[in-house]
Amino acid sequence: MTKQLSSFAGKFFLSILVIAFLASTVAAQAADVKLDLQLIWGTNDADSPNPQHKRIEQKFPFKWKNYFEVNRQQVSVAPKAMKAVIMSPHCSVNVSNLADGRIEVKLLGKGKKVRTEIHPLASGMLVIGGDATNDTSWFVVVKEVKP
Amino acid sequence: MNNDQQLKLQSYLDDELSPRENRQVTEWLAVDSDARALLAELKNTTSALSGNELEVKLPEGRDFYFSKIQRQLEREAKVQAAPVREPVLARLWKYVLPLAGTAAAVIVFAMVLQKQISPATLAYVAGEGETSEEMSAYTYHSQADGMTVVWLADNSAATEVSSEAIEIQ
Repeated sequence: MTKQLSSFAGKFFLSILVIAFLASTVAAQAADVKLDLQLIWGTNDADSPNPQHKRIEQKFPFKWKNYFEVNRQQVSVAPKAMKAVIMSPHCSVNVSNLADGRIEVKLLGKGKKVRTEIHPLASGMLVIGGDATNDTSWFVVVKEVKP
Repeated sequence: MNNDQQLKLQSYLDDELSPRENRQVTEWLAVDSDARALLAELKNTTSALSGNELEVKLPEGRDFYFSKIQRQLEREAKVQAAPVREPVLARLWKYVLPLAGTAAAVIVFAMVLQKQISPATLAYVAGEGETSEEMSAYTYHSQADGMTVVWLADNSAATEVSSEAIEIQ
């Protein structure tokens, strides 16, 4: 009797696991991914020389004191689809929804591929950037907009 | 004469050997006086025992006596085959122990993982991506900030490509 019960319980939990795994896989594959993209400039200066730049309060784990948003866009990417997002005249980002809970982010500078990153959405936001002149920095922030 | 040879002679005497072995022992006896002496001794002992064996009278009839032995053997077999019922605590322990062990292993694993991936600052990780030949990339991850950072550096001119690429100023 005990053996039958433990065998039943084992099968029951295994079935639950399989169903949960399949459901999560199907859900991850079926949904569009809504993404928020920001091009940000980091500086120690108090103000940006460009008045159109919007100061942002979000703190980043970098050495600069102030951050300014140069451009911000939101896109929705269907499963297995790609969207090209122009962030500045020379910086664009191609985002692909890999339909398995990950996105592929391709950063292009002057039309040339700079970096391709496969990013699991569950691990949070993705920041791709580098140093710029006069001890400043630039970076693109890609984060999922959750419904 | 070794033990095997002595046993062979006893078997010869009891007529338990195959015809071939029987022939071999006969030939052996023809040439070995020690063997012949031992065989004679064994014959004497056998005849002495058979002539003076005590007659045992069974208290019951033969069939009943052996069926009693049979029943006794069956009873003992049943006692041995009957499963020993474990105490409730021991039976519970059988299920609780693996569960507790698994839970402990999961907790230890989670603690180790937590220590590895959630430092106060960004931790360097191996990035899953491709960089152009002119650039190098360093990937960091901060569990606390929920952030993965890929920091690029121009291999030739420190900032030329990156600053030109977006024309920030």
